Amino acid sequence: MTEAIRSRKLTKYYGKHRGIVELDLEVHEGEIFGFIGPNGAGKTTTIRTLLSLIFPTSGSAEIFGMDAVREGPRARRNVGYVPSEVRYYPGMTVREMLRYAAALHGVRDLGRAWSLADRLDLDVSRKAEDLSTGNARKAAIVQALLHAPRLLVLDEPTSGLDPLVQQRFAEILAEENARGATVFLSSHVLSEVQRLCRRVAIVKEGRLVACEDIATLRQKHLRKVAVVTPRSLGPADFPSGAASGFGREGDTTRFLYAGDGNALVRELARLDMQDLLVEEPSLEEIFLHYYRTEA
Amino acid sequence: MNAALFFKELRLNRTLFIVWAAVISSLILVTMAAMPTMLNNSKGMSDLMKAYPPELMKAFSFDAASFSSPLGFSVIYNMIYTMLLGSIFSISITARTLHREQAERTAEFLLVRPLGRGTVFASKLAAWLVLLIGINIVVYAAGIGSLAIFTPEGFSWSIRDYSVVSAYALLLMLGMGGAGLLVSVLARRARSLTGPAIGIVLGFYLLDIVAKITKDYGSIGWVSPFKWVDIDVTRQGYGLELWRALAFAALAVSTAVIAALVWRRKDILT
Repeated sequence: MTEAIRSRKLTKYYGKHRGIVELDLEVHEGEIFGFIGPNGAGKTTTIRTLLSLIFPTSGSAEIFGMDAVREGPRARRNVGYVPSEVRYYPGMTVREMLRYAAALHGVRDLGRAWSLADRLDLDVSRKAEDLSTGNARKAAIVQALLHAPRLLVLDEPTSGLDPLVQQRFAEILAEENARGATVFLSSHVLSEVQRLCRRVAIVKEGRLVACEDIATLRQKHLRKVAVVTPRSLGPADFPSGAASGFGREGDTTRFLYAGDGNALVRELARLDMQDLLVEEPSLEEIFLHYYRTEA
Repeated sequence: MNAALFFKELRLNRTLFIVWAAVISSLILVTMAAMPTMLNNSKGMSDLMKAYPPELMKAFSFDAASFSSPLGFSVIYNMIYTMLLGSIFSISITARTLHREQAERTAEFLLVRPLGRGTVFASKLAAWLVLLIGINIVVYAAGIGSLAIFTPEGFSWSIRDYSVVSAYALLLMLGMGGAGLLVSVLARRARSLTGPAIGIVLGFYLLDIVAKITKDYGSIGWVSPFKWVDIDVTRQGYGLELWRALAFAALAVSTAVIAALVWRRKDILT
């Protein structure tokens, strides 16, 4: 099967500074894929390398089987991109900017662009440089979608959008995905990633630390545990070392357990336990777990 | 080449083109209006010039013969400044054309489209060439027109010689534009390049003047493309010399080729 995105040991250094290191990534065609990590982890470097804004130090990246560098123009025919910071050419109205973007893609019928602008309440007669952050973001979304791309690369796409427009954007993304478009979503808003994406990759200090189904990530690797005990619990009570992130509220100790269920039960059985609650953690808790435990 | 990008570049530089074309043409018309008086008093001008050091006269290409012919007058009062201003116009466009996409963060709009870096370069280069040729046509027309209007009776001038010196002006602007392309791709982070670009032109111009004044260091003047221009229009057998044309072509082509090679693999850090 052709992957929408595939990178092999993709590495980028800016002089001596690390961008990304040996990143192996596979984004399946037709999926909504989340890409998360804190500032400086390498998310934007990855996106810019995929789009050939910057060139890899080593390794390779492909978009629909086409080399991102050697076959970049052909590969980018299938890509729509919403950057994290949106800037437009001075003096252009949104209408002119959209016509220009369409011309660069060889698109003559702008019906799709006007329809998207209507749905997002975007005034296309205004100067692009005078738009508010939210409206500039809407314009960026429309220009990324007007050529009906097979792959949408979104870098913090909802930043600056009000909740109503965020909702409309989520609907548009779902429609795009339903027509077969792959979505690569880089975001800090983990609840958004959790809501929209099926699979997620976590990047830390330029390296991939996890890449799995969100459901699997939540079920398999990590459990959120609350135990009612007479005394406070700590790492010493779990010799396996799988428990972390301890906190105490009243008579309840809460922690995260990164191990299989049998091991958890065996370790809990040694404790004087009055009550027990085991839940799936949120994506945010998983994310923080990766960052704390691997720091 | 991409037509949409080409026409967008033309539109983006439209105001710059109109302003510079108007300024240079107006300067030509205004100074040429004084020509009849100056030519009719050329004897007095020659006497006046004898009071100045010959090196200074040479530095600014002043000589007695220039004040007794319409073409000589036109070159001294107009063509040198046309070359200087035209070079600033040319380098201002090329120094900004590629760098602006990075400095103004529009690269994330343009370079994510299905265009190769080579296509982007070629489209911007073509737009610059059209603007450069356009401004040279306007300035040439203003020069020819003013010579036709203001040449007093009893004086003559050669349209061929004026065309030759105009061709040198175009070649100089091409060379300076090439240098601007190089500056555009070598500049790293967001910073305005207009100032440094103008500085390059003025630097070469001053170097040429200094080389003309100082006999001992005259050879360093060859570093400056201004030195490669032959403006001695009153000389017998004046014409476009092949080696000079080739020197300008080599400068323009080599800088453009190096700029294109750097641009093809340049990391765009916004």
